Amino acid sequence: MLTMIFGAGYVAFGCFALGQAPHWRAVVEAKDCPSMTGWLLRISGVLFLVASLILSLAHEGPSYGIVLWTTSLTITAFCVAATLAFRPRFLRVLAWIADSMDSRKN
Amino acid sequence: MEPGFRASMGWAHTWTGVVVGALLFAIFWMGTLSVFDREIDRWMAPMTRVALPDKPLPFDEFRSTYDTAVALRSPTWSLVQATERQPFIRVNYRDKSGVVNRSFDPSTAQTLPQPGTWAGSRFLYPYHYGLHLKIWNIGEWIVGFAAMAMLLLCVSGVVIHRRIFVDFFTLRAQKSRRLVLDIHTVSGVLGLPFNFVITLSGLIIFFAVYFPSGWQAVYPDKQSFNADGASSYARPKANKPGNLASLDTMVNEARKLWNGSEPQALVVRHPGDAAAFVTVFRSTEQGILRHAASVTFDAASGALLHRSDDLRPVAASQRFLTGLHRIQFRHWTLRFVYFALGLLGCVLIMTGFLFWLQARRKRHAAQGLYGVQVVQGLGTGATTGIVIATASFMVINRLLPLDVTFLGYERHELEIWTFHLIWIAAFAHAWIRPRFAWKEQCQAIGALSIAAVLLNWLTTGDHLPRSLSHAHLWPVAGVDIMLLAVASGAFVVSRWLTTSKRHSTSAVVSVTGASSHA
Repeated sequence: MLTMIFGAGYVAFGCFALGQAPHWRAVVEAKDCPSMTGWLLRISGVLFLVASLILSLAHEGPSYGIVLWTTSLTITAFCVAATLAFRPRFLRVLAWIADSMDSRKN
Repeated sequence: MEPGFRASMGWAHTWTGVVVGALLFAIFWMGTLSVFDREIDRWMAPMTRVALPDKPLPFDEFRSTYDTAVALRSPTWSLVQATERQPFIRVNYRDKSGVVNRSFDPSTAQTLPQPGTWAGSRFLYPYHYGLHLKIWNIGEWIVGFAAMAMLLLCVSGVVIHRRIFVDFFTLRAQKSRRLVLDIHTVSGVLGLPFNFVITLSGLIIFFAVYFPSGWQAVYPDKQSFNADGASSYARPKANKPGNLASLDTMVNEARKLWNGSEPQALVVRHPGDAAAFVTVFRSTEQGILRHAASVTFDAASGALLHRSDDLRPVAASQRFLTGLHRIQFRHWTLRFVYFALGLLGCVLIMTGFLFWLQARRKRHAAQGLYGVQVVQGLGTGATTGIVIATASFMVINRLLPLDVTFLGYERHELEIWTFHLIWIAAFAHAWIRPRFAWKEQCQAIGALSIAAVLLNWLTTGDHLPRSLSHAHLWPVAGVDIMLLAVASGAFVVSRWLTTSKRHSTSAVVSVTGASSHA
């Protein structure tokens, strides 16, 4: 469950990061992020953050859950920043999923 | 001060950081280590590496120590049961020279040898809130001042950061000219919630010290304040001899009142007196709220005298924030997360120093100013220097014989002297050899950390494979692994500093480029 809490947080911040043009270009390499894809990424980021919070509250209870979730935000966001700095291609799968969802909608 | 709000906040951020940064790093470093203070205790006091039994020993097993306290006319006698993180029984009372701490094996009730060290829970942990300066609470006041400065740094850092959301994930590893500032901003922005809450809660813990007028305006003395705020019980001595009923009967009664929750400690006040009373405290490991519910009994008859009420809202809020800060609850994931976030706070302060140096190095050299040399010495001694001192503290712990004294100083005092002398030497080294200070101090950290692991093996036999294979030695394994990780990190940084062409007059690359932060 802890892996899921931290994993959901990581995916959430990964989505937020890809929603920013410089990080999208760093991951996808020389391709601008379509506007709809950017929105999809941001909405997905919010949903994954909420999922992480729900999992944390369900697993740890309200007292520990909120503390674990809040502190996990820093850890997971820093992991995303480190991924973008050293291994940006690791986030390519997120970009690909968001891009393909956008294509289907269009 | 600079004209304009953002510029004045930039001025405040820069100079507050330079002036208080060294002290803040010491507080953050010691606070971070305090997250694992009991595990460091196990490492530094091998006689306490005992296994926790399935069933705790009865409290009455230790009545002989109570009789000793009565004979010594000690004002209190207390017993703390063994826990997962502190797997031995502690008994405390006072004699003419001060507090007597005795430790017992939780399985056999045999007395354990005196540890001869203050280790984590008595040296590192109090250091981060009191600096071991007890006269007039001066250490707590200095730390309180630093905490206020940290809050100012957190707020001013947000104000002066123009592109806080754009730079949220920005670590330009390929652009070394910006990397130090990027690490500073990312660790500052992402660590802001933790740094702010941990600093504010640290101030709130000591509200009675920092804001005494609050309780002094309402209560005649501290005892009545505690009685109301924490629902504690007290009564004066009768000055007549009295007996002590069965402690285990009282503990069982307390357990029933708490619907089976386990008592963790008991305190007898006025031992041997007819008005003596026994307060049994519930364990605080099961929740964040740092409040041990208590039940008080008459020592002679075992009759129930008082049961602590639920805390009032303000007291409960204060105790929740205290628990959040002190992390004495049982939650290993959060313990590791706190440790990681504490280290991130250390990185934040260190990179703040580095960026200040980078931004001024060329200009100060051109203008013949000495600010960079002074701050570089201060920054190096305060950051890598305190890590060297901590590693030396652990190395000397494994080298000194248990009963050693020197010039009238006992073993634990010699360890503390070593810590401070090495730290002073690190400052001197940083000022004498500024070009090589970072690199050489990183090498010293690596060498000392590895030496500590080897010495632990040689002096106790608890090498890493052995400590990993025995559950009660996992705290020792954890500290060994942490030391090896520190050594690896230190050698990697040292190698980077050696090979980097960017390293010219110090470990710091020269950066004069524009910044979103400055």
